[in-house]
Amino acid sequence: MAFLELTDIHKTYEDAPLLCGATFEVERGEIACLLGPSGSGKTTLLRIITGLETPERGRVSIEGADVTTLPAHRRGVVLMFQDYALFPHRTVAQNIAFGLRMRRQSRAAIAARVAEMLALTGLEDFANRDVNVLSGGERQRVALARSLAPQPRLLLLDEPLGALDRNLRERLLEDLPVILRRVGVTAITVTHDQEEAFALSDRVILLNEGRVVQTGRPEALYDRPHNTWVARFLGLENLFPARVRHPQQVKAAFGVLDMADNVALPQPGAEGQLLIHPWGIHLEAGTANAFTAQVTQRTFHGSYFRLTLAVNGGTLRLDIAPGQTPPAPGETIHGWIDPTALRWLPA
Amino acid sequence: MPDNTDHESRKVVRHSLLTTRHLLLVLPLLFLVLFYFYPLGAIFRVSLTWDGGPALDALLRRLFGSTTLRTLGFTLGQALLSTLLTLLLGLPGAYVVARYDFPGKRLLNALTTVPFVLPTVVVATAFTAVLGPKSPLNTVLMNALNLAHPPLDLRYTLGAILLAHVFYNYTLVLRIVGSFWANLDPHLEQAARTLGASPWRAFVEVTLPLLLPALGAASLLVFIFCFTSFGVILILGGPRFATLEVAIYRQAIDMGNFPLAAGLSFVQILCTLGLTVVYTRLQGRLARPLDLRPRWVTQRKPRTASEIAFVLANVVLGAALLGLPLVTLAARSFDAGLRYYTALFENPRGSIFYVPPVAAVGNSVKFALGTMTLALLLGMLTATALYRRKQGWILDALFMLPLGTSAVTLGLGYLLAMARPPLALRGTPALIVFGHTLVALPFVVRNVMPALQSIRPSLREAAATLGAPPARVFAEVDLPIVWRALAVGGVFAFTVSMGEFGATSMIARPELPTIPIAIYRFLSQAGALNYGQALAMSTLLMAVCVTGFVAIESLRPPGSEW
Repeated sequence: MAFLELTDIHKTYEDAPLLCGATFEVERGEIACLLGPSGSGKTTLLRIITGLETPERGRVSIEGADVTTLPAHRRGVVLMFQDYALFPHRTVAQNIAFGLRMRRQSRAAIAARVAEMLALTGLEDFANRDVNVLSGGERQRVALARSLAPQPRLLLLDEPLGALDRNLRERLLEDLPVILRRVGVTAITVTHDQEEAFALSDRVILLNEGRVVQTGRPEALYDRPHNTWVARFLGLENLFPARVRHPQQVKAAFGVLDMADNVALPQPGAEGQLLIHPWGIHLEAGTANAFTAQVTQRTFHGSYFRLTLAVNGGTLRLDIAPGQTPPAPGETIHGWIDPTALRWLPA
Repeated sequence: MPDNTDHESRKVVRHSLLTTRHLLLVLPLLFLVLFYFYPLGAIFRVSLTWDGGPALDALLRRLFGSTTLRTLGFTLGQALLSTLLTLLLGLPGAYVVARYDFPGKRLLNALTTVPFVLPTVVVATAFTAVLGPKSPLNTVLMNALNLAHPPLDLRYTLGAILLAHVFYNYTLVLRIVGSFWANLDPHLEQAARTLGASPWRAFVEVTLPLLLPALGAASLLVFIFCFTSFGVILILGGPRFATLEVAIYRQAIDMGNFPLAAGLSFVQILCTLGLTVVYTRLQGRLARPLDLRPRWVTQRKPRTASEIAFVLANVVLGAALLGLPLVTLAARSFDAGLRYYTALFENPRGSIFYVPPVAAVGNSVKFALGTMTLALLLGMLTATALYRRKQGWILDALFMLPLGTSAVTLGLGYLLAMARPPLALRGTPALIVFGHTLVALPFVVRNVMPALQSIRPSLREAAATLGAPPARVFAEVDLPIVWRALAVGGVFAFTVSMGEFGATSMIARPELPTIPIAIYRFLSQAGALNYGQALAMSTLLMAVCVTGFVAIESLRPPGSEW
């Protein structure tokens, strides 16, 4: 039995289905991330878990107990809003103390816990500040301290970095998981940004059109997407229609390719999509999976060049380090593809 | 940063503009002095005079007579009760309009303007129709229980007064609190909920403190309105109840005791002044910086059965409160077919008028047209002179003063001040127009000023550089943009004049009655035909005001409400 279980959650919004059978689990102490395009129902799922919304069908259980209809204030699940929702009529310390007061803790206990939270988030000097004059990053930390103070059994963070500017975002991308792990809270974050999802979480739950399409560690998800939608959403663009020829060999428009030994392909004759990870494309003469291509575009991105190659039946994209001399647009080049970089996806 | 020379030249330009703008103010200020401060001065003079000599002692002796304190107590008490009752009924309604989106909301929103344009005499008459012995409720009860006599007559009770005050102020709470609440971030309350606060606790700890400025503003306004209530109390309270306002009227008109009337007015002025000061101070103190959210974020359709029931209950309550009295009024004016209406054209011997009652309609329209013209002229001058001045708030407040002064007090001031030269205007129709204009002027200024402020200065500057002289700039740039606001102000002035009762009842000559005066006279006479004519005339006046309201709504720029 997992710590949090969502089973077959259905919810409509303005008469259109928003969630249609979302099912997933989160283990105790885990930091999970709900990732998906906007409109995929991520925020609504958080609101259902915290009890601000009730699903039309399905079940939410925490530690084995069904909480589907339990009101928000009895769940012990705190939601940190994207806009932080700091109480404008209270100071920083009063904001942090709010959840503790709701739990009827003693004055002394509240003061001690507030001090602890201020220290954890580096806000020691801010206790009596007016929250309305804080910067974006400070507000985010107050919101985090307020959410963690009552020791929620589950913390939900809705786009926790979404309201911040780029530089601050990069720094907090590193700080946030450190704080969450130090506290040891079970947490679910929501984001539409895959980079943020990968940096923040132990496990990604990928959502599309109201359903969970794949879950797994970030690197596993990236390495083995279940289908072409997942691959494209993660930014993997080298996809080609292909047909299985032999148990370890497929045919695409630009040639016959050998797959790695450990890949299980369907029966010969089956049609599907071939995914080529860019790291497996080598621009030098080779024996395995050789190909010929023409360079159509080359753009400089600072730490790498991005090349677009035209091959028979499609385009290949790959990044190469600026140390090498990149081929110029118009050049014809020969290369080979590492069999371990090939993945077979269902049509 | 603009450089220094630019800064200097700008200063020079603004300075020269200021002087022309001062000239614009001459006429409005003169009007204010003659028809506001001079009459008020007369009240102060009379109330502080005893046997020819000034004495504060005299005022106090007059006021601490046995009835005065009781009157003051009742005035405060009924205002407090009315305010509490209005809040009790209005808060759930404010929540519904703030947080839910439902079919018919736009219509409901528009209808809430109706009480603002309806004269007190009409509303009071409507409530006599709903609460009196021949009310629809009594008819139903008599038929159902087989009774010979109507069981309920709620006229001349405190309950009737409170109900009429709720009718007027319910929509005020809906508008002030509802529109503030509508922009309040719902995430704040939800954050409190996930931090362990029950719905009630989240409301008390988070929403309520944030609503306080709006709640305070609404309560104080309701309180001030009920404190200075006149027509409602005079008609619905009967002889048993008197607020300060009614007492001033009775002392001056029925008893001819002008010194006591002036003393009561003095107290009235002090009280409203004090309340207004409290109001402005509260506003400043409680205003908190809030991230306001657009309405599409904060509002949604009601979903669960209990949400739908709650919304429906409030909509029905609001519709019944606003609609029932008015519908009953109109329906009962036809109780005798068209007889009540045709009677308005007759002038029988022994009539309470010297003219056919319908002449009151003509009088009212003449006064209203005069008021509209004068109020638009003075309002436009005032707004043009004041809209660009940062330090203009004192003058701005000066022109709003008449709003906070009770109409009966104003009327008393005219009676006292205009009886002899230099301004012997007592009894002239012009005085009525001046009085109505004073009451209507703030509405015009309040409508026109924001419109003028909304015009970007670069538009005028562009017109000027293209060769337009100042008068032409006004005609080509300002006027096309502010005409809507002017029209709204004009309609307001017209309806205010049509419905004005407090001041008019003090200064109108018997042979020149206005519609509200005629209605009140009909109500004070016995007999079904007299009452029927009151209903008919009220219905006519209601029709005029509702037409005005439709005009205002269609002229108002869209999307300015909840």
